[in-house]
Amino acid sequence: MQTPNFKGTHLFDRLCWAKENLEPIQCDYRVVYEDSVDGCAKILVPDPNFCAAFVNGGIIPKIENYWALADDEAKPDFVKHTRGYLLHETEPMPAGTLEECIEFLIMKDCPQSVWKEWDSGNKPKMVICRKDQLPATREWRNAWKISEELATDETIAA
Amino acid sequence: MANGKIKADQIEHSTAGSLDTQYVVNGSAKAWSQVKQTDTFAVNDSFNISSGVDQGTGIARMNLSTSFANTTFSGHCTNDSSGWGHNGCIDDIATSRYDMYQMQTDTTGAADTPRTQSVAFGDLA
Repeated sequence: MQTPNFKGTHLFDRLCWAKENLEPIQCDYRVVYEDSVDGCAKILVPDPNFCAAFVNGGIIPKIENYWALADDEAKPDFVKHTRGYLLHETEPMPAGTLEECIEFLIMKDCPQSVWKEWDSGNKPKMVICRKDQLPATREWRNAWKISEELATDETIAA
Repeated sequence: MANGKIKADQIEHSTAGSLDTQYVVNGSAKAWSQVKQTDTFAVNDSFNISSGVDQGTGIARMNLSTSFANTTFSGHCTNDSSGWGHNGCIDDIATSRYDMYQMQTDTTGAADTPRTQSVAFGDLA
């Protein structure tokens, strides 16, 4: 569906339009990551409405704008966002694929310490997989870890 | 009028009186979600959510598409239990996310629920 020209439109209003006009996309991709040595693996699940908005294009702000707000919030004297216009008044992302949506969500919603150095340790800190590659039950959920047998070279995605 | 805009400071009902539109803007939920934590975690439906993160038994993080202006927004969660009672609470708030914790009331242990629901009110960035 053709997205209206939303530059300058509040992101909340754009999401309202997407919710009303776009069919949600239940994506099969999952992002498994570990952000602490002691904790269990965490599994990021893309939101169906967000996927639809991303794939349609012209709605979601560019990732740099989310990072700018995250940087603001990380400052010790942060009280309130004063640069919300970065989400609402900048040029939105063009239409993308589901794979690009996953990349975007990794950079938006996973800790930077994970995705910037995902392959720097003894085993990968992050793996993109399909839903059916995960355990189908919740047994021992708090003990789930990324396998140490996974390689961190180029063949991992083959 | 797909992209029309009506600007008004008040709306008036035929018999019940009038209301400032700021009550509608300030009083509306800015995000909501329903997720399935049992078997394979899934986001069933939502608004203003970019992703859900299965963080372990009974714990889920909801990441927001539009951030709140500050961390004083009000998040709430509850659930449909599967036979026994559950309590739900929100913690670990940032402007761009909140975490939901579900607990089984008879054992006070963390528990996954088939429908964990959340809603958040506050000012957007």
